[in-house]
Amino acid sequence: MKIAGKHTVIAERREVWQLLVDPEVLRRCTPGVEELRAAGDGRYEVVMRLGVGAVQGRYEGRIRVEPEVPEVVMKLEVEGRGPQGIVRGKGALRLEEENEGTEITYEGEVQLGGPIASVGQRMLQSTARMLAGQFFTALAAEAAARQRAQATGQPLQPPKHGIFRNLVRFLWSLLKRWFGR
Amino acid sequence: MDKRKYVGEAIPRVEDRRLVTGTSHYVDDIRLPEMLHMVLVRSPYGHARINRIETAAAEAMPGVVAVLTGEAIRGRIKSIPCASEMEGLKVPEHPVLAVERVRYVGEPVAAVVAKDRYTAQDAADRLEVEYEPLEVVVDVERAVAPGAPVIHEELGDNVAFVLRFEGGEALKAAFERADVVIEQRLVNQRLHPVAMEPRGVVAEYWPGEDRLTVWSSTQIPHLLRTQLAMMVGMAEHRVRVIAPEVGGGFGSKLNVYGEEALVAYLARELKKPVKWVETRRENMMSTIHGRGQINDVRVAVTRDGRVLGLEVRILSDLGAYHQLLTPGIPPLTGLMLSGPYKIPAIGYEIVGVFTNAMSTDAYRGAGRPEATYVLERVMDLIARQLEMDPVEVRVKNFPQPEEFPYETATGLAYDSGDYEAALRKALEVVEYEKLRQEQAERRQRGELMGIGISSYVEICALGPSAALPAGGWESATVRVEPTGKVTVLTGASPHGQGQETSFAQLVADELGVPLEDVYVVHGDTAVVPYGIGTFGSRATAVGGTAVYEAVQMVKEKVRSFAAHLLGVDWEEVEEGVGEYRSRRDPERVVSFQEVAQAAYLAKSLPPGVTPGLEATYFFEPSNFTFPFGTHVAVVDIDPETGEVKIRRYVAVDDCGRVINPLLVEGQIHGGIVQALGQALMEEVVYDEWGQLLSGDLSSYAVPRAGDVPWMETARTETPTTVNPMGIKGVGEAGTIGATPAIVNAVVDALAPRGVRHVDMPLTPEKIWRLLQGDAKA
Repeated sequence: MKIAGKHTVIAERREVWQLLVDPEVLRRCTPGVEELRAAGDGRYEVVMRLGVGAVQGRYEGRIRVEPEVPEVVMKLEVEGRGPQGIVRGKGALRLEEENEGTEITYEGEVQLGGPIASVGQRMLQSTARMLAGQFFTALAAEAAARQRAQATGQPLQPPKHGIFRNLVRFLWSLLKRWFGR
Repeated sequence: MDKRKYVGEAIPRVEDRRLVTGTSHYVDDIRLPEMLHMVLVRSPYGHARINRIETAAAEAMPGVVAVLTGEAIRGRIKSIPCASEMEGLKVPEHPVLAVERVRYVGEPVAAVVAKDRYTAQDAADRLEVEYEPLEVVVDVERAVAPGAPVIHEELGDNVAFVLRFEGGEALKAAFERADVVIEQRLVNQRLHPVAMEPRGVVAEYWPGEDRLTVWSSTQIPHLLRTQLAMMVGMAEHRVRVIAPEVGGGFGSKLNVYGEEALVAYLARELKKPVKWVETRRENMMSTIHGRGQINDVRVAVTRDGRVLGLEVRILSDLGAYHQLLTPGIPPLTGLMLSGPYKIPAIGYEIVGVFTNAMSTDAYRGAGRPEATYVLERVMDLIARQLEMDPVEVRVKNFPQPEEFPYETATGLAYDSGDYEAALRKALEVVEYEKLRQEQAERRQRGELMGIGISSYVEICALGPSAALPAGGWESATVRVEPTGKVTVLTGASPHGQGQETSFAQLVADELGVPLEDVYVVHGDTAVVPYGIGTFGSRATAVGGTAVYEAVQMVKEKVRSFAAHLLGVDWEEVEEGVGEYRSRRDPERVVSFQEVAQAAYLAKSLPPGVTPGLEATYFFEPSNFTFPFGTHVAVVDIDPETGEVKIRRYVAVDDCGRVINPLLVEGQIHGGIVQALGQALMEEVVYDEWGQLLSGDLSSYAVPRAGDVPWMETARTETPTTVNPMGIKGVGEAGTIGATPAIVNAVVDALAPRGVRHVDMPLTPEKIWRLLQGDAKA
């Protein structure tokens, strides 16, 4: 199933890129991540807790990140397995400068296998959009925290995320977008 | 003297009390001391190579007793059997646990046994299997196209068999002579049988006695015993199979599954009882599916609606492996392609195709619903094209009652029938003329109302042994116990059909005893003589006839003992209800109980008569039976939502003589509901990677009570000549007759919008889209 979307982060493209390649940031921003270890060569090993519809579980998997055009295009490959089946995906992120900040466009193809397929497939599109939304919202919070630290000269305070907090932020950003702030 | 009579009466089922009070025993209710539990690890891939299976972590978990892989038990359990035989049939190896490759989602890869189910499931989750995904093919047409991934490399390609029935010169001439030739592709989608109770197996082995007992939710305990013994390498008489209460089968339990052999094997290896009970998701993934045919139809017709010839190409989606009867189902479609019509020339070609999906096999109707769907859609297409009434086209092509036994172009001999009578009766009940008038008026107002007719004939009472892979007879033992109570042992294995009631009715009448004095036992190979089982609408027509014959033999012996006790010749014995009287001296009476006791005490035996009161009969039918009928559906379609509402449903079925009309009606009702599911709601969906998207009951729509219309049933009664009671069988008639009636009604409703055909399931979305498309055009 194909998924696609875009999101804007108020930060310079270079800053956004740096956040995206920082394992600590990824760990904090990706919804449901319990562990994320860099395994070198753009590969990460992750343990995630995910729920798609009625199917919930702990997934162990690998992510491979390949900067195709540094600071512009990043290719991603995800592979995970859990008690409810397998998740495989391939995609790319494209960063583009926008007047206010950086627009991140993502597109990819996700495949669910095993029991999760029958329940998950129908909700995949909306779930993926929601998770991506939460991720980029968290990323924006990270960028804001860095900017704050730079402006005030205070040490960087990494923002707290958590699924709930990210969800609230995500919904808030949606509201802002709909009602033009 | 009034004679008590049960046969023909609508007697409530004796089974129902235990079923509705939840006091019945299913496989999952069997709990044995020290019982272990098996959980299977199944493939999440539609097609993949297994590179490595890491079992250590699972094995190390406390409570885990064994972890089995296909590699580890290679050669210890034989291939899952396929009983169908056919010239040139390719039969791939079908291991109980996959070796090297998996070929469908849900294929068992490893088995974990632990002291409880939770531990087994946790350990199964710890098992690591490394797969290398391979290209998947789930679409039959793609599977036979050049360049398709080959599912069984050793077999060369994905074509399991090609079966041709040549129409020859006659067919060629029919198409040359035809005024009109109609062509249509008809898809009969894959379905999940969805028995209420999923499968389950418990096995226990006693090493001292070398005895293996297997409880399985099966329709065929004896055939299963024979196959299991061969699969696990035991002598058949050391194996006992018990089918306890079985919560529905619909053909899905007319099979021999890998899990049955695995559990039996494990119980013997571990010397402890082992249990496996299927989850609903497993049931959807790895219990057989039904239907799955694409039918390309060509029909040659005269200007006045007479069918001259029929040609059908059947592409049959077999799935990844053969289960017990997988390749045997589509040929039944071919065989039944004459339906209730006189079609002088018929030709067909069946191509059985392997795909990366669960096997298809017998599902209620098994090949006949597909044939009926072809014919009934064709009849309506003819009517449409020639602007005739669908009733007229059908009547024109029926054979007349005096033409029976009627021989079809496909080589069957229909026993008896009056097809027009059933059709006329259905039209009368539904008030056809009035409905057509109403339809015409409502069409004026732009409303969508449709009337659908389906006349069918089906093949039942399977069947003569020569035509079946594993025997088509049935056995019965009738035993009068010393106290006069009667035990009936039947080789049939009812699992919801109600033969504990109908066989008791039959025997109670014959022996003149109260119904509650007759106890019907089935489903235990240690108790019941070898039998074939319950499927193919055979239990009453074949199994019931065996009971009937056995009870005649017992009656003869009862008469001999009665005469002996009365001191008269047996011609001078007058039979009463539960007693026997001397004609010469009416004061002299012996009761049924006294006769029974005398037969066992055996103080004095009639000359040439042995002690005891028991007889066993194996009945071999000389032919199939051919029940028939006509169903009529009346539907309204909501143009805003595309929703189909079945307003009236009339079913007139002729299943020959009836023992219990309540049971017949129940079978018809259930069948119609399942047919409605196929027509409007159900479809097995695999995505392009072979993932099962309809893998649970939230994504697969089975009809619920609210979806079911009021069903008006009526009967005509044309006894068969094939068995002495004249019984034809009724178990599958509903699914066979009803599906096309509903589809024809929907297409009829959509006709003013230019719709000629829609493939099932006719979901609101599909119809809504059609209506939108029409609006745009």
